[in-house]
Amino acid sequence: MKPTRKHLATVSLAVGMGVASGLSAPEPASAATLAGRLSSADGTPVVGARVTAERGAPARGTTVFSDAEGRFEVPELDAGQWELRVRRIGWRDARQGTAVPGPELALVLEPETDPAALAEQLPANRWFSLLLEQIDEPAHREQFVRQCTYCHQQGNAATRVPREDWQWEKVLALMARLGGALSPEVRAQVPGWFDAAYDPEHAVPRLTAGMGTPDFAPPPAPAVREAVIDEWVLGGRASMQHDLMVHPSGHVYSVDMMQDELFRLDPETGETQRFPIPDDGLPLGGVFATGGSPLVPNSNAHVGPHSLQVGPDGSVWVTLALGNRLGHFDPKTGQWTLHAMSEGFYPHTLRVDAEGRVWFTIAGSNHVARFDPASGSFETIRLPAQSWQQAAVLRLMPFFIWLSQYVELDADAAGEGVVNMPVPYGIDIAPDGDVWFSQLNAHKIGRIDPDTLEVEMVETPFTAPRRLRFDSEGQLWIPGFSSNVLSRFDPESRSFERWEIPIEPKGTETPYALHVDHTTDTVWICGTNSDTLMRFDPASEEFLVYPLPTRVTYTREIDFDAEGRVWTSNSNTPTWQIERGQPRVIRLDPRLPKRALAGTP
Amino acid sequence: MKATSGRLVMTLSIGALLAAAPGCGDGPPPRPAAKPPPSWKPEQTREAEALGEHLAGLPAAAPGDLTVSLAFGPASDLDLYVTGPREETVYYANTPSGIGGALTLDRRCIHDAPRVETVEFSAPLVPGRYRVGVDYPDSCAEANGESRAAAPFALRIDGPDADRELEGLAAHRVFEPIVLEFEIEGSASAESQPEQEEGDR
Repeated sequence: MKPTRKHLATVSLAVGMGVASGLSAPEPASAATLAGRLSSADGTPVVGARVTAERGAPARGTTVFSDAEGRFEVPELDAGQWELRVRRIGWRDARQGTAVPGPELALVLEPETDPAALAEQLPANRWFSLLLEQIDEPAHREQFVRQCTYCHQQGNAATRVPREDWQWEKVLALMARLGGALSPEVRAQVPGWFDAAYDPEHAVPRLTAGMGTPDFAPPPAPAVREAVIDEWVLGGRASMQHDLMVHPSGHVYSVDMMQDELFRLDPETGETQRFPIPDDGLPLGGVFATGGSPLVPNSNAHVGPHSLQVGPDGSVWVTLALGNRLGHFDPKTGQWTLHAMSEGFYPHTLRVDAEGRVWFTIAGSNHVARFDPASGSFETIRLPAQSWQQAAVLRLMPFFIWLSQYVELDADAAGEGVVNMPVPYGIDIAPDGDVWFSQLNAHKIGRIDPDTLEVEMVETPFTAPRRLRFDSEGQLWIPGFSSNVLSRFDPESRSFERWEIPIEPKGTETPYALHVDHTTDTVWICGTNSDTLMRFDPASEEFLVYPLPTRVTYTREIDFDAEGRVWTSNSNTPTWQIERGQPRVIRLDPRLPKRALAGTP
Repeated sequence: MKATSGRLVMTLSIGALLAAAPGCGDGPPPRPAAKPPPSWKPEQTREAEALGEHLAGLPAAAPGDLTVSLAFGPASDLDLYVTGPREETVYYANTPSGIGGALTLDRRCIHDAPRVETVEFSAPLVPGRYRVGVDYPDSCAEANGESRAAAPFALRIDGPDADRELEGLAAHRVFEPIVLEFEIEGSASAESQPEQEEGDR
């Protein structure tokens, strides 16, 4: 059928105004509490269990922790039936399908006595420790951690599947084509590491040694047990909510990189809206289409939204990584404007400065770009490479891309090159207006003078600086993705301080991103491989570790709402590795006393 | 291995793009979107037809079951990807899926041709859209320094309301995520079929 003018107008409206999701018609506000007490069969309280009340499709859940008496209160629930799940390492999950706010519940938990089942309860990082033990050479270990945890956790059930050598060969070749490449020397050793680490005969006794004793899985700290965690399923089973942000309106926006959609969640009502991003005429896979690297098989991405930030006028800017474009979304009209980049490949993380200019890293071609909305123009800044050969390669990239129409480039043989390419990654604007960024694989951070665009590089005394952020005093906080550190950099003195990430066993965490709550200058860090969020108080130099409700929660970005609640999203890829197979956005309300929030003793 | 300078530069160049490209959709190396699909040669047409005939001669799926079969010749190692209605993909590194789809065997260069890979779903089928993709990661002729020509293949869908056959040409080192998509209509019992949770497999 040939579309008429009327039909075209209808399509445009649907794209522009978003699509209301099926769920979450606002519930009547009759807040009630679902409360109870958890104990073992002999009446001993079960402390620090995560109690989740959930319902709806897509689901929305609220999780609290049981206190020292085993008591819990899930607050602010609407009337009606809720599915209740109680989870504590060392105990079997308890479920009640028809919990109703009102009468207090008394739940008796059964200890998990099967070592294999207990080992399955452990977060990925606990298993991953066994694999890291197999790697003797520190440089190999660092490379493996940095390259093989880009998209998914290492150590979760899906990554522990036994494989024969030929299967490993295929899997590693596929991962290399997807970007998680290893040097040939490391790649050759991977099958042996996995076989030795994850053989259940050896792994389960190691992981469950001491089971049944109080020290095996101690409860979270009392301050952590005050927290309330909300989760909203957002998107479908092929969605990937890469990044999110809290809008000044209170709405939360999230980008679905696999389905080319922007989501808007109203936390007050639970209503979600989807705003499809125009494909701008690009094919599936965007500017990367028909290349040698596979698109994720259930993806429908033409432009691949990646990172997002709000501008001074309340509009939303989005890097469109597969489309090589910058997207601009007007929340008032629901309309999109796409700006094609003049140079570079793979726009990555973006931040907006005080003048409303959009700065973003360009990961593939080693650039940072600045987009001026007033003029509609891009300014692209080429960053230093690590060698003249690498610089030459990066400058010749457009030629080779052209050449690849006629000559096959050997992606599978490119492992060494991948491992060493700089990869501009995180970026943030300092209070004085300077722009700072990281180069993930070069182990450097850099500063750009916003007036002269001069670039200065600083080596980090740790590996893999990833998504960095400034505090209110102009101190730069950096997560060391493959080095298990939190670092504070003083731009004045050019000095670094470091703290080891406290997740046990040490060295098994991969902190992807962090953010600083400017009202308290406390630092929140993604526990990307351990299903946690971490809070660091610079005044006391103490961490709090918050276990999250859903297994396989892989997080890449953090933001805060006006009440100081912490937001993140689960973007493990493939999504089907996530418990219950759907991505969720997560809100953690620490509910800490004021003095703790202020960072004073 | 001593690389020539030309080879080194090309390798590093694609490496730079891959480095930016974690597989979570963070991007494969860019190639112009206008790159044309491989064109058919007469011998490839004949091979694809023969592969299709081979598939046609295989036993039909059991009533109510769904099978997706990919046949390919001696010069290539192709891989079959089938994404079910719950968006989980069955392929050599993820089998079975939560709804029970399973790859029977990953056929490689060491296997006799024609090689057939099959993904099977048993009744009751989960209704909804199924997507079939084909990847061509390796040429079996590579070791001999022979050309990496496009590889003919045949595909057969055998299931309720979804009998389809097609022939295609796969380009070396190119993954085609959507060779075809089809719908399975289902019953209420199938729709409520539970899915195994992570960690239960």
